Amino acid sequence: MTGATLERERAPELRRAPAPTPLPSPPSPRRMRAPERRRWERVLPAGLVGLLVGALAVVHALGMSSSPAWFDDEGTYVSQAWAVQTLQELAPYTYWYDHPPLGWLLIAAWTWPTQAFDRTWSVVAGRELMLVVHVVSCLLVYVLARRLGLRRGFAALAVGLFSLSPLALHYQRMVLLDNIAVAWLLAAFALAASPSRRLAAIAGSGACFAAAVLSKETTLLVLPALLVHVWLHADPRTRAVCLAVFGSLFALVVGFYPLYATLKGELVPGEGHVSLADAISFQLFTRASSGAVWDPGSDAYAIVRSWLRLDPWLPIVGGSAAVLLLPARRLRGVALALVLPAVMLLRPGYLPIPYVIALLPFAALAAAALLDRAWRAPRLGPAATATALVLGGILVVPAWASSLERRIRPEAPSPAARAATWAEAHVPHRDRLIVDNTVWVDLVERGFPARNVVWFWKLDLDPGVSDLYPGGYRDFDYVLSSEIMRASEQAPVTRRAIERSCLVARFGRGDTRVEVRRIVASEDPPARCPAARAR
Amino acid sequence: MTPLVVFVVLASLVLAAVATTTLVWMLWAWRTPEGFDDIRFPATAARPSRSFSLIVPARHEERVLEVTLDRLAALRHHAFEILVVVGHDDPGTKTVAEAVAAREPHVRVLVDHSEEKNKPKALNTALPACRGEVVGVFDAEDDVHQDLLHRVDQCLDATDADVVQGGVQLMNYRSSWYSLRNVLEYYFWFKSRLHFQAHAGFIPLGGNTIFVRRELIERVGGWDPECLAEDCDLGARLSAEGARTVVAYDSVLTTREETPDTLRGLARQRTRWNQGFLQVLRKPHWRRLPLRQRTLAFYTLASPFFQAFAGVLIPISLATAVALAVPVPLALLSFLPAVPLLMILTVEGAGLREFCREYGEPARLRDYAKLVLGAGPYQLVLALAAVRAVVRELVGRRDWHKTSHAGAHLSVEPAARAGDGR
Repeated sequence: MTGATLERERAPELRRAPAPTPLPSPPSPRRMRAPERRRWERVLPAGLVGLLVGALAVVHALGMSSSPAWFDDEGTYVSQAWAVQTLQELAPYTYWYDHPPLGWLLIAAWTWPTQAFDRTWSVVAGRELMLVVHVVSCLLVYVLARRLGLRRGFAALAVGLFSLSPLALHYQRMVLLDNIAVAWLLAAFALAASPSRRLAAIAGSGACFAAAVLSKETTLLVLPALLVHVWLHADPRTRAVCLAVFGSLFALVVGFYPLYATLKGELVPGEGHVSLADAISFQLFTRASSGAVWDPGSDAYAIVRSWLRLDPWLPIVGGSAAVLLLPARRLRGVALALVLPAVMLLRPGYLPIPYVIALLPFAALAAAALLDRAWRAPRLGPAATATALVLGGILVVPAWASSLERRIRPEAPSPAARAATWAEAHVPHRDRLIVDNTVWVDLVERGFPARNVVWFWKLDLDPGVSDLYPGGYRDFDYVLSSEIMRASEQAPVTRRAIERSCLVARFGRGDTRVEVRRIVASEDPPARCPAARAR
Repeated sequence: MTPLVVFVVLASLVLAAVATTTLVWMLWAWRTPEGFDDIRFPATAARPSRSFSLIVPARHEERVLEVTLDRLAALRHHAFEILVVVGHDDPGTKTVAEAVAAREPHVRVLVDHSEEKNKPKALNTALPACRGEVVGVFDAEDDVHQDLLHRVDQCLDATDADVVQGGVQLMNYRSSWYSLRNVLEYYFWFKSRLHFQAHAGFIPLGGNTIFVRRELIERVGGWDPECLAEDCDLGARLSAEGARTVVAYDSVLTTREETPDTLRGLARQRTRWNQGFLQVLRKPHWRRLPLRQRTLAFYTLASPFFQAFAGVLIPISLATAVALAVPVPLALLSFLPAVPLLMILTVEGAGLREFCREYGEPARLRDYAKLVLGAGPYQLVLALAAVRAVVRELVGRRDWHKTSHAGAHLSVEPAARAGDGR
């Protein structure tokens, strides 16, 4: 029976229906799908970006094996990757929680399948991965720039600034955990700016940021900026839940690191073992301060000056742009990602030299975003921006071009590599060597047993190693002295080894030379060992 | 060592998978901002055109029935009737129902003469007497919004659906520690999870605020009189028929209910539902679905057990891994399920905040504390109910434990319902 019948049934007490409820306002209409663009309209920009990034990759690849000079820290991370691959341990010596291990786990994920240690020098193997990481970072800078609303040309400019700055060419080639962390960090920012505001993208952002922190713990400094970024890009309807998912996934993934320490019984300080708590307190409190940035005699001042010597333009222009962009909602998170760490620089405390790496992409983005905004200004916008670009080009391009030309010029193999080759041929493999980490893996791979090749820092700082050599430097036969070994004041055993040794072979010139020296028993060794030749 | 290794790896992966699917489907409503708007009743300008027959089975409900029927009779719709079904052995409820029927023309009273009483039998008693195009089911303690029928009618128009499942919401989250968790369970179930199920093609329907085209429900033969979860069973059969279901959750329009007033009552209610799911699992209907829906159907029908055991097994496996000193990578793997589990807890906290914002009462720190501290005990209660259900089903005990109602929710903000269904 139909409704009409029902009505008739109750006719005597017919209840007049009240006026229908006023309708609520409809929910916001779905975004109109953009008209299907012709295929080439989609492929062409992507192709151009691909070409750009490809060209930048080539620029970064040319000469990367020897320029910049190999640095001890690079050898450390590479040797730890080697330990993961070969010994299934987190480090060749005791892992003391100096950094979370995800960075060199990634290096091992590259070197293992590609058999990189068999193909090439260990530091070069690590630098190969840095090239891959750089390509990924460039793509992420572009994606992030587009998602922040920059026009394609300015997004490409951001990528160019990020990749071609002399600071970039110097630091992004080196095997440093910061480069890996920055790639994860850019992924976190890009995902959080997802145009469809998917919950899955924001969850991914949390996971990527956790990976960034687990690659280099100092990335935690950028957390407030990322939170602001996520907040401002989330839709108010779903924001609370998105933040809950972001925060919990981030915290839980990062939590696996202290969990690992706990499962090994190394969370809190105790007798006879390293601990995570010790490492954290060392990094935050007891580590020697670099002094205040504004004090001309301090390490911090020297470090910042070295950065500005390499390239003053990107930090200054990017930094100013970031400050100017703080009021812009969409860009605030990215601007803060530069401003907050820059402000933290002013704080007296230990300043790591690679600190600048995490500032570069945001400086590039801020500079390009400011120019993009200027372009959009009514009437004079494009003209003024074009003028600024030309002027900027005139100022910047010569300096950058000359730095570029230095970097990509093929150079002779690094002095350390030549020293290692010579040692393999001329030093008996049963002899004991003191080395820095740039060639540690290479010597071990070339037949020196791992217990005979000792990283020089460990002789002074790790009782687990120094106990094995109670005679100190006398237990060793050779020392491959490099710049850092000669300059370090906190390595007395190594210093004495160098003083009580005679030169056997020298590679390279000046401070960056590497010398193979034979340790002799006497107090006053000859400058050159008998039958020695200088190269 | 090796069997232990295999056990830890398998258990960790399976538990992580169960917890992750629970988390992801719980978050379905929030997957995009547009999706978040879609979970509500569609807004259309269509004039309501259908007639409704609303069945209200009532047993020992003297305290709450009159208020419920009065509210139902005041629904703002032009064509509906209310069929109250009472048992022949329940004079108290029958008197109340007949008193209301005397003064309300929409209301009729039917008597169920079955030997053993249960809800599906009551529903089947009323079905032949239904005259409307659409059959709806309400419980005797439901607090229904006046515009619900109007919006359901428009929804049927706009979506051309066969079935509309409206939102049901428990309200008394401050009554006790378990009521808070129960309230949030309903919140996520009707706001989010059921929408996913409807989208995916297999949906265990709710027991009330459900509207099905009469022709369809007659075609599938009404409700299963022996099933303890007749709503789930109906949903399974309708899904197998390919019926199109729309779920709509609008906080103003939800049907408000209360949690069982004792923990024992909750456990009994869960046992009944779990056993009902198990009965549906043993029936052949869901197997007729295509592969994807069939997999989802199996997983959904078995999920009370997965979830209950996961909630208990996870801490046990963690303790095992730590106490027995398995290798560190393995121990780390055994903590993997903790990630989605703790994320669920965090999302429940966000859900509590959203719930309190939608329903107008602010959440206090005490509520969040109850949420967190009650998580473990609640899982334990659910796990015990699941075990009890399995045992009862194997032994063959199918008697129906009815949940008693005190009307606790009816005292919560009745004035808030006076607003219209915007």
